[in-house]
Amino acid sequence: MKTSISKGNNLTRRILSTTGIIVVLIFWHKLSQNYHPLILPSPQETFQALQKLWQSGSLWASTLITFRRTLLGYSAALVAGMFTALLFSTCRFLQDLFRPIITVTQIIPPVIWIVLAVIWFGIADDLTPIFLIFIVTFPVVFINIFSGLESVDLRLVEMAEVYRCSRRKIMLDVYLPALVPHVVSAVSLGLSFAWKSTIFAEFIGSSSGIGFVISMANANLETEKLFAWAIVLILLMLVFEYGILTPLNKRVTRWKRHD
Amino acid sequence: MTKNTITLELNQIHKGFKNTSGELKVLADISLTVQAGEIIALIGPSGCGKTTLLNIISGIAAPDRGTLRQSPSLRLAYVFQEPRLLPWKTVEGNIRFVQDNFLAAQEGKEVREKLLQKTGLLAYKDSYPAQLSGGMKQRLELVRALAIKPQLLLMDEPFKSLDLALKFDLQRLLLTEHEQEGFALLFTTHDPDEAVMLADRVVVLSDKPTQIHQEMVIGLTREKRTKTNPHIQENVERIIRVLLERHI
Ligand SMILES: Nc1ncnc2c1ncn2[C@@H]1O[C@H](COP(=O)(O)OP(=O)(O)OP(=O)(O)O)[C@@H](O)[C@H]1O
Ligand SMILES: [Mg+2]
Repeated sequence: MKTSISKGNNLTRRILSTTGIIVVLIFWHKLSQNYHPLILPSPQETFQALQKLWQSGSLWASTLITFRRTLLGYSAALVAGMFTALLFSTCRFLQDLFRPIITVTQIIPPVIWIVLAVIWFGIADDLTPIFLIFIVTFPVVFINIFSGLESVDLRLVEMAEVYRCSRRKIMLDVYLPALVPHVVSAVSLGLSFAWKSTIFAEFIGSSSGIGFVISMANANLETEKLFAWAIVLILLMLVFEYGILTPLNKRVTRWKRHD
Repeated sequence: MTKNTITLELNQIHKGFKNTSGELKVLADISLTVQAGEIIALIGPSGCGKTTLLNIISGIAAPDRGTLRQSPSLRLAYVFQEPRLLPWKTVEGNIRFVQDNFLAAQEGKEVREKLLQKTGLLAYKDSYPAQLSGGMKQRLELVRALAIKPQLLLMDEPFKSLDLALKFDLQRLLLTEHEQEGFALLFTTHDPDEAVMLADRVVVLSDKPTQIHQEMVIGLTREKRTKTNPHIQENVERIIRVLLERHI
């Protein structure tokens, strides 16, 4: 009985959200009839642009470039963020010394960083976007992991010590599992940041990648291409979020559920 | 029952905590000897330092003064006042987490499954703590402690908030295991009946700064103890009198 109700709710929710999307599409279609395609291309024109992108191979080429940069900058930030968090949690002195700097890094808006990066590295193909991703996502990762470390239940560590567990075992079976959900949340939070930063950086300071192609479309007044890319980006993020991160999150926090 | 080997010796233990208004003296001069195989009940007002004392014995906390003597290879198990289970490990995983430090895999499995069977948890061995009731978690704590075949078992109010039938079942299980394994047992309680029915010796603690107020040896063998036995009743009444003294 209970399950059928929740299933019904799920179905209703799906129908509602699908309806929402259809309404937006219809609205977009109607609205575009009143404007020049330069200002608001119609859904059909956008779809044709998308098809052209696909056929020319530019869709995959640019996506791959951007993806590679995001991955590089972001894994660097992940490793560095985790390492710093671990280091700071074991050394009060380092924490007091560097914590404010990390906070300041986080407060500085990305625009400032990108301008600085262009000044420092020029319109470098890889360096500028990768630097921006790193500098923007590093504090996010650090703060998440650090708060994760602080939230480890020390009473469980005491229990493990009373029962003579080795330090290695305590690290692997007490600290690590407590940390995993924080790592996953750091990854998913940081990743959407990372994507946006890469594209932003490519838009301003690079000569390849999705951001650069968008800036070209902008310069050539190809608004329908902009729309096509927006759709590609939305789809990519959705695939990441619901195809990878949500299932991963569910898996690592399996023990939290009561079923 | 009591052999003449000493499992644990506490000598003039002192312990205080710093708080906003200076120092809070908790334990003031506690000396206690636990013989191998002996069952001792600690009873005393809330906040007098029973948990603190068990924490000192288990090595979680250090005394400010005094000495603690025990064999370095003493196998100690501790049933905490509130369950301390790893939420990401199953019932079986939680037991194995501590058991693997002491027993070989085969023996461990036998001991574990026997205890799970006896406590009615065997069907739940693949469940996570979040899926257990409060009483089940308490049972699991007890199983985990017994599963390492300890020489000294510390238990902090192990039978609180259990339904009557379950409480008696667990006490019976504990006594059977004690009979077979011969570990020393030191447990805290607020229930004079429980103390007198289970222990060889009842140690009544005063309020802070805490000292040993009185020690009672319960002479009867456990089979002879019933709530209506005059010796038992007399001891229960004595404990109640001592505990209430300060409140008159
Ligand atoms: N880590 C700590 N820091 C400061 N004060 C503490 C700490 N641990 C215990 N205390 C204080 O020490 C006293 C004894 O606490 P303890 O938990 O040992 O009491 P208890 O006898 O176990 O009480 P109960 O029967 O309620 O469990 C209390 O007044 C408590 O406030
Ligand atoms: Mg206590």
